[in-house]
Amino acid sequence: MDSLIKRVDPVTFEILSHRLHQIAKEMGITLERVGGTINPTQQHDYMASLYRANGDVLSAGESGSWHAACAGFAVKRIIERFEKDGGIYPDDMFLLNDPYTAAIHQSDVYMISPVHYQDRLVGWSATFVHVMDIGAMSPGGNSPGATEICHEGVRIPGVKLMERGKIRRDVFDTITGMTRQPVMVGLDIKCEIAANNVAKSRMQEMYAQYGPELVDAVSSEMIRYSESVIRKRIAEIPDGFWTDTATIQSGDTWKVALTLRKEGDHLLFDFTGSDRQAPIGINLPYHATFGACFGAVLDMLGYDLPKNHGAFGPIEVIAPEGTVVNVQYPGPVSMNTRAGGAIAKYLASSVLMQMLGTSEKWKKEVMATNVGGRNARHAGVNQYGKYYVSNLIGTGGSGARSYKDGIDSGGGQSCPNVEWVELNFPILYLFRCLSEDSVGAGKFRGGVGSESAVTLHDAPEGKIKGVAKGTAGLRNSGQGIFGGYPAAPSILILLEDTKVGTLMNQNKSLEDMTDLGGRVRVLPYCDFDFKNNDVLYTRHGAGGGYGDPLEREPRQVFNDVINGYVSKKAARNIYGVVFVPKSDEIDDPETRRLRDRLREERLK
Amino acid sequence: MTHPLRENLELYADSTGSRIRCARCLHVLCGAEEDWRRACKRKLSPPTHAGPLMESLSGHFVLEQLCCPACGVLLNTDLVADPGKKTKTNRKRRRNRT
Repeated sequence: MDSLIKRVDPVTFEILSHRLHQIAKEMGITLERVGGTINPTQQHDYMASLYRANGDVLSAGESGSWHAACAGFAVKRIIERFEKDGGIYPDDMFLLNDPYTAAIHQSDVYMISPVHYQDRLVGWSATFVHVMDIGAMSPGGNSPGATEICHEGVRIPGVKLMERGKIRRDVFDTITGMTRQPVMVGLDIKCEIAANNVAKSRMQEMYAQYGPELVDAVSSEMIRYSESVIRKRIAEIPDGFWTDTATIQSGDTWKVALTLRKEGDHLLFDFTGSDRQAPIGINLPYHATFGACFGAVLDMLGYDLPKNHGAFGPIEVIAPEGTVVNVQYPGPVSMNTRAGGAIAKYLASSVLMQMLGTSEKWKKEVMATNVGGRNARHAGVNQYGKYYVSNLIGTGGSGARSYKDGIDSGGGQSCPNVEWVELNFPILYLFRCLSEDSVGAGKFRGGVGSESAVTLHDAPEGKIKGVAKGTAGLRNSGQGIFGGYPAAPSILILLEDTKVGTLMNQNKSLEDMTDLGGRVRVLPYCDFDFKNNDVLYTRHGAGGGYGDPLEREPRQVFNDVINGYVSKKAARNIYGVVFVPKSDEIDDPETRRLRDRLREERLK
Repeated sequence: MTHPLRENLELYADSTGSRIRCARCLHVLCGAEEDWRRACKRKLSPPTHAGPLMESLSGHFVLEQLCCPACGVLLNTDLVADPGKKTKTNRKRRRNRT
């Protein structure tokens, strides 16, 4: 193989490398086009990747890299289980969603497909879609009341769903029948089958065109290349260690601690010091914690490289057993992707950013990172008399970079279309907009987060069920870096028995939230009833700032005020920017004087 | 010779040794092996100092700011537990039970 790869010219190498990436990308497009539920079609809550015959990541294509790593572990578990018992044949397809095998939580259902060429197993493709329901305690899967994994729905360590190209109806009906939404979950599973069929077909075309020896040789070289470049980049950075901690708060508080030790071309992520696993589903299995670190390394040090198993080589992850980041059976996990997972991803990024800041070459790549944010599910009988389960997701702002502001409303997943949500569910948006003064200030500010309020509309039963999830706590938004300020916390508030119905009957628009009246409930992790005249308000996380706000260009602060992102009061108190009274002009001499005075006050 | 440690902070070495200094005013904070945070001017403020929407953090967290003691440039900002409030973590509670 070595001699073969030496004969591959760089152009052919690039073409095949990009072709593999394009196949994974086309899998993602297939999930979006064939899917029928909100998660694959609008919110990008999916993953599509390619693997080598032994399960190593070949192309971590679309969506979250941590799932690409976990699905690689899933492929390996399928090989172990079915090689000896049941067999792995052309056109088979396997389903796996067990967090104690390789998945992250049961709602993220992996579909794993072997790729054969001339009857030889040459690779694998895998997808996940966050399915609409999984038969857990709470509709939608995320179950705040669950205290063990057995409360959290169907758990499958690996089953053959397609046998030699034919779907096993007995298995399909059994799985979908254990959920509240058999038809919608069936749609989710079928779009995964379609995406894996696309991957298989494209991979086989590639093997037929170039021959298996060449494709295998290029695949090996892609992984070797990515690993060697990532190791070289790590080695360029000074040795050292960096730490950070983050917490989840919902009644109790759970801390996750991470120390990154960098020596030569090796990175050790050590979660020692993290709290014991929680009795609620915020915990991560070890492979997901590893995946969070894998994804962070790929995003920061390998963003321009083929995304593959090469990032496994330089990293080691320590997560003590029985902690929030290495849950032991039967600990619950159903809310983990946006709880323990959001924290682990934040910490892995945070320590890597601190590390990059010590390198002349890499410090430009530093950006502030987000801990997570709150969101909710809703379920019940819709305006057409049908039972449904869905999501209420908004978008936060991304963190500031060392050279520019964060992206407004640009963090997390995609935001669903308001009209589509209102058409399908008994939900009416009162507003969805960017939130003033939500960002973390800095020389470069974080991206502005969004806020929204919805009420129940045309629900035949006068109420639906809600599930409050996400990253609960007060430090659950963008965190500043190198002097940059943290962003405002993400919150989920239920206003009960408001005057919203009266306002609507009078054809009055909502000018101020206080006009609504009602009882205010700040929601921790919980199930709740969402009734007529209730309003659910969500402020999503915004981006953290980078550097000292007093070093921000006054003209940029001016623009933020004009755009409604920053109030004049915050412009003065945080950025030291003074406006000419009764005008929208900056008072430059006063701004200089105020900034000097604010610096002096810091020294008192 | 210098190399950065973060925005406005750098490691500086000459024939007399290595030190950490402010990159803005070149004030030397400490030796290379020491914790530069201890050499900073530390200021604790209410969380609303970072904006009006931080009100819900009051009583739980305070804003900790570390500045160069010479020029006042901000080197680090963080939310830390309010020293006036005892925060119990899962770990501490378990220890108390045993």
